[in-house]
Amino acid sequence: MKRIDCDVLVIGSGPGGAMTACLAAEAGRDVLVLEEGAHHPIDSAPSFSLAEMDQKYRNAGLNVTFGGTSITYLEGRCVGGGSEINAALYHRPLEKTLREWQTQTRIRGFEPEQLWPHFEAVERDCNVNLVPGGNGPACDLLKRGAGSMGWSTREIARFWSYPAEAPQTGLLTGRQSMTVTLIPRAMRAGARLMPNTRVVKLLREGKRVLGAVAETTEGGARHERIELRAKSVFVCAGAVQTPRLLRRAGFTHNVGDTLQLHPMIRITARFKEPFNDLAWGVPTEQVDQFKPGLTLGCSYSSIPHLALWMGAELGDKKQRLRDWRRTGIFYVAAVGTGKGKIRDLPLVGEPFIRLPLTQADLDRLGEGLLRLGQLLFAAGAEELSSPVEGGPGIRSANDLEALCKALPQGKMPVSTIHLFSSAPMGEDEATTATDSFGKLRGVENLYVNDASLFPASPAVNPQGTVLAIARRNVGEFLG
Amino acid sequence: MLSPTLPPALRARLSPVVRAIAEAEVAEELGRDHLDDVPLLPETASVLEHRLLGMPKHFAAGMVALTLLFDRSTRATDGASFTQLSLAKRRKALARIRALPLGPLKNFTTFYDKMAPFIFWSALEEHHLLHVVLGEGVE
Ligand SMILES: Cc1cc2nc3c(=O)[nH]c(=O)nc-3n(C[C@H](O)[C@H](O)[C@H](O)COP(=O)(O)OP(=O)(O)OC[C@H]3O[C@@H](n4cnc5c(N)ncnc54)[C@H](O)[C@@H]3O)c2cc1C
Repeated sequence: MKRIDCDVLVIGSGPGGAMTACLAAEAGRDVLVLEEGAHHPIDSAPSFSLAEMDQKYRNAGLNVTFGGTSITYLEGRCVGGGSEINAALYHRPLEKTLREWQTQTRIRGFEPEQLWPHFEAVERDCNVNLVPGGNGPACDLLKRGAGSMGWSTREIARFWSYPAEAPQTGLLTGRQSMTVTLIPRAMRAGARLMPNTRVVKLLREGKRVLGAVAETTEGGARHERIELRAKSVFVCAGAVQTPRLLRRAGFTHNVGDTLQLHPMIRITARFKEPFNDLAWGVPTEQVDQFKPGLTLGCSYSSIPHLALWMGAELGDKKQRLRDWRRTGIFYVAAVGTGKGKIRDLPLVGEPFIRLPLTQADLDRLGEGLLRLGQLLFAAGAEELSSPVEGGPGIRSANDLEALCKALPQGKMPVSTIHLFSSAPMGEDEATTATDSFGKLRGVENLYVNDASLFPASPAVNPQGTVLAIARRNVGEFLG
Repeated sequence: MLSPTLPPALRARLSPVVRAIAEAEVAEELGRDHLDDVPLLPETASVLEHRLLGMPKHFAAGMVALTLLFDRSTRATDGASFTQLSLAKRRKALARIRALPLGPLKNFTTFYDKMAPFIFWSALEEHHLLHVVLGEGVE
């Protein structure tokens, strides 16, 4: 077996891995990044297209959890991980959330004042910006609806760059993913990147890890096995894959037992007037009146996506799709309360996730849907699609009320794009897998540095927090 | 992307069934029983099959088995395999499964009900052919 040596081995090149590799390389360490997915340029496929799903998503986006309701979850699998495919919405978490985390798992050095400089650095280094001069007609509609209900909304900044001379030209093309920001920086500082290379196991010897064994792929087929040797290993494979790797190596204490997520329900709404203009990209306004528990917003609403979420029940789908300019996809995302177990299925080598959608989640989603419906009708919606498979169209907020009081388990398409907390950090040994800076308990040189570390939901889009915490932790490692 | 693999003999049995389901789903989407003037059906079927085989292995295996079983199941109800049925009968056969309570067969149609139309509309969008199906003025 071919063998490669390095100082710091980084497994996974998503936001956590990219930040780790970048700072370690810039500090002069010999860094090797292994990434299971391929290295595609940022513009290799249009956003949210089939081609993008094939190139950059794990299993083209078809993964589900098991529980009363199966939840479809999406993960990136390419250089840059989730940052290459996501909506790039950026939030700082609420100070209250950070303080709750700090006490919940007793994290050292986690005062908000100690964390804000990391967020500031992320905002600077990864180009976090608001849309110059307003964020478009779908956002205006959301603001109008919320305004008539007396609710607050907020424009969410994005990891995005808008050319100063013609900001509008950057609306679809300015994504500042890891392949645009931290990965080139890491490579300029000397980091080596191996795409199409999947780590299959960590090499463990007593209280140390020696490195890992990986498989490369070429043209879609397995190519060769290689052995990687490293002084330190960072596992940054994301909230589902990180615990799988750790558990396979026998690290099981609080690993893969507490996965959490933001369950999300989408509906479509048709209005009298056109407002859906794809040239604006992802709508960046969110209703923040009900945060931290609930977020309401609008998704990118192209014809294929409308067809996906509209359902057949509204009748004459063709006509409805012809009306796409006055139709949009709207979402409710909740802070989930269920905790999931991630295990490897024997023989097939795929993850099996058992995660309940709890009654509290259903109640919260129901409340969110009701609020969303009220907002949409206040903004002039004529009809909403039902959140329930096969349910009839909804023509008034009253129609929605009965349904939202008791959302049915197992009968709604629920999805998530935010997963975390599968190897939480902190000093509370009873509930955490790593110390306060991501170092795995019981091993000298193995670290986690991705969304798995969150003690609980950040209650906002998570990538900014993944990056800020990764920055903090790798800083501690480098000393 | 890892190319999904299946023994050639099994694949040869699967492809026509997936194609027949894809057509029935598109017909359902458009609310009619003929598709003579509808473009990109072979592409829709081939992407759909690729998606099916690209699912996590345990799901893919289950879906392949259910798809092949479903093809035979219409022999009892309609006197012929699903692939041999007219579009109208295929739509009805899928509707029967859709009406079932929860269970693996229900999940089976959910996959096809969601993915086939999504792939179809995506393919039209990608090839700038939405107007062919939705009428002029839809770009
Ligand atoms: C469709 C979508 C939209 C989203 N929208 C937003 C948004 O607008 N704002 C926001 O803040 N967040 C968003 N998110 C979530 C955000 O992308 C994630 O929280 C973030 O990417 C997590 O970073 P990570 O480093 O923990 O893991 P990931 O980004 O998942 O990266 C992990 C990487 O490790 C690789 N890997 C896994 N296993 C192995 C292995 N065995 N060997 C080698 N490599 C491996 C994976 O291929 C992947 O590239 C979205 C996510 C998705 C999927």
